[in-house]
Amino acid sequence: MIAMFFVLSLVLVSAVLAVTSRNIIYAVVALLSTNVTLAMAYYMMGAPMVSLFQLAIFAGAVVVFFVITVMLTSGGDMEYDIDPSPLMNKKTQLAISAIAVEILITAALGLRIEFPYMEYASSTIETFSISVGSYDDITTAVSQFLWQVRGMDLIIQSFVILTAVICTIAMLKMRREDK
Amino acid sequence: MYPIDMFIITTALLFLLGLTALVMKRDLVRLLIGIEILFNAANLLFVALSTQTPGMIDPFPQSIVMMALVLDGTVIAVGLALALNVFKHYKTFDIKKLRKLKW
Repeated sequence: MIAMFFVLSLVLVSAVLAVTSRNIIYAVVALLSTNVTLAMAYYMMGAPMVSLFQLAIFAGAVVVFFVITVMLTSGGDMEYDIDPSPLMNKKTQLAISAIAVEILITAALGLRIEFPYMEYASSTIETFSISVGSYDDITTAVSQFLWQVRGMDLIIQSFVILTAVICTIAMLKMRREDK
Repeated sequence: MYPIDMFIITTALLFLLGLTALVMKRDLVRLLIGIEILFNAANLLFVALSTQTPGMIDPFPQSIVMMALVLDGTVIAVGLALALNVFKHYKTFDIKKLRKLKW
């Protein structure tokens, strides 16, 4: 309990650093810290595969993409040139404040709701729900669920990722041809 | 099983942080960092809710979050490729300046 509280505090502190750091490299390192601590939280909650994906994709690949982008564009040199005046006017500030208050009220209300979770679950999901045991059992159950129940989603998702990869390669190639 | 309260509070704060970054920042890379924090907030609440049945683990939210993680990584990668192209054309990441440059 205290360990989870500590890890979630680390997540929040590093996320604040990622948003507020003036140097973009420090911001990316803080983002890496956010993703690693979130992976730790997932592991402690009993989601080892999600933790693995978080480490591999968000803490690994995405952070490397960020660093490469900053290196290729020398973005770290120009952040001080940007005028620090806020982008938005008073009305936008009011709207954002209203949204923030609404989110906090919703969260406060959510703390008091007794959500009958399993009553809404379909029979398939109930079949796949497993009792808390070893992490091997959880990993096996999640893999089985993914391939047996969400198989079509996985195939569609692979097409989406293929399209994104082709688009990214096309954009980067366009950059090279222009030279 | 951990109590859901601290996850809801952390998620709300992370969401607000991401939203603040999206609204206040003018650097394209920082906007993408804000988007990633928003993704993380949503995923955290999903996984936290999956572990709220006492003594049980529900694989459904976990599999959804795994698919979402892969797609989020794709979104960020495409966004960074777009940012590279924008920098190549306009030599800036400042979205206020980019708004004035129209074809």
